[in-house]
Amino acid sequence: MDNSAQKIRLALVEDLEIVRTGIGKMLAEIPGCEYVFEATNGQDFLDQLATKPIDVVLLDLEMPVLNGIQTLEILKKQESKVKVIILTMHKDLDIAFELLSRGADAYLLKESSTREMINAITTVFQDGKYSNHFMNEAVINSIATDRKVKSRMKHLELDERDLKIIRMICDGVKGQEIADAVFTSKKNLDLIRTKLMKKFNVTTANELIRLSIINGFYKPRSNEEIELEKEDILAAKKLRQQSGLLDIFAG
Amino acid sequence: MVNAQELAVIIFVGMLFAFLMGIGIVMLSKKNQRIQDLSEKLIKETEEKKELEKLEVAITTQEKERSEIARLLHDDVGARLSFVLRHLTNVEDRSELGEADMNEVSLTKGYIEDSVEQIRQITKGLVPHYLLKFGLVKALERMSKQKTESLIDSFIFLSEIPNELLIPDVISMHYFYLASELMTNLLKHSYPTAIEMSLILEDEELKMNIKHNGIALTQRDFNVLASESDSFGLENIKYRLKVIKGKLTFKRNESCGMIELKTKIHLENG
Repeated sequence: MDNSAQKIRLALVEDLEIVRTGIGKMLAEIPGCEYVFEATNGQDFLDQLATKPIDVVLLDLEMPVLNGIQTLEILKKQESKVKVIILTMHKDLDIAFELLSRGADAYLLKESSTREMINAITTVFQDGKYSNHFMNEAVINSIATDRKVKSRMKHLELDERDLKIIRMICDGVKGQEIADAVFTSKKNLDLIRTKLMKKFNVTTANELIRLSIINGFYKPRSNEEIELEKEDILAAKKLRQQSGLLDIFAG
Repeated sequence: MVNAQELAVIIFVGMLFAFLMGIGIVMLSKKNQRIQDLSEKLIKETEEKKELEKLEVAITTQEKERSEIARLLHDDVGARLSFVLRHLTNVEDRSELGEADMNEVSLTKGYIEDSVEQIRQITKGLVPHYLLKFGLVKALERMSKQKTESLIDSFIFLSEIPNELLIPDVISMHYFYLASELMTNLLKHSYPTAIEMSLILEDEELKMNIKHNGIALTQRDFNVLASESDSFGLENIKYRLKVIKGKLTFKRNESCGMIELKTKIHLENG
């Protein structure tokens, strides 16, 4: 579909009047866009959406009555085609990561410039995921990879412990060391390993490693990288031991 | 005249009466003692209950106030400043100003950016945003992963609790702070290289089990610490445990140490 001739219909959901008025004014002036309506909370937005169709919504997170997360959830349950741009004060990658995983199309900070907001609106409208300097491309890609890994884990009925074991096998860690790291006996670890082979439908460790890489469960690392990580951890432990003169539960 | 036989009967009856009186007095006094003990126990229990209620109200009020201050700072003052920042960026983008004015705008932007960042840092310490947004399970996972990242070889988080399960806010908040305090102290003083945290829900009892391969405390060690230390961290743990009627158990075996935190919860819906 050629979207170039079609106006992008917009809505803004924000409880703070000064911000709503300011951003609303900016949205109304964007060429190629039509500012359809504004709402003071999620419920107000959903009520208006029933009669006023839009393409993209800029959604605040903290709001009375129905907040941004709940509103996003309802939109996704309704399989709504409306693209969602989260507009927030939270400069927190984990929150952004979680919301994009739950179906938001972009995550913008409230201090974003007009240029950035216009970029985000046009990008998500053209069916893309928008990433800004705060959430660069790498983060967006890692969200996609994480989603793939989680869905493959669910499919193969793996939990975090299984994933840890797989990664340690791939790193070439010895059986006893793996068993110690996951608080189990060597005998039980062998049992878990056999179950994993069965789940992956393979008979050799090499096949398990190959499929783990394909499924995104393991990213091959050089010996130097593995050693470097171990050294960093040892150094961190040493540092904690040196500063361990503090009282226990000192808060 | 009373003969000897009658005298013996009188003495016997007198002694019997005195004996029965004695038994009666002892029994009465024992009964009184029991009533007194029961009353004291009841008074003590009532006082403890009142103290706990006061504590709960104090902590809950304090947390509510913190949340409200954080909300106002972050969502209102912060949002207004962000809005000003956005306008200044737009002014900068239009490039209609002379160099001196541009410098002024740029300087002002810098000050506001610092203020917005400052607000973010302050509110982060006041209220756990992630917990309030995504619930206890996700918040515990994030907190533990953040704390252990690049500090230990292996951290595994296992949860049998569905993310969508609604755990009452008060329980969530105290449980989260307790777990956070326990993880901080575990990393700081036990020097583990592997930790496994698991969460399960059994008969409306939320159980968190932390297994680790560091220096492990036994229940006795912890009890001694709890009775002797008056550190803020430990007091915090004791208060929060009381409020959520939680139980903290420390165990040690040959291969690992275990910390279990459990509390009864009444689910809001299931």
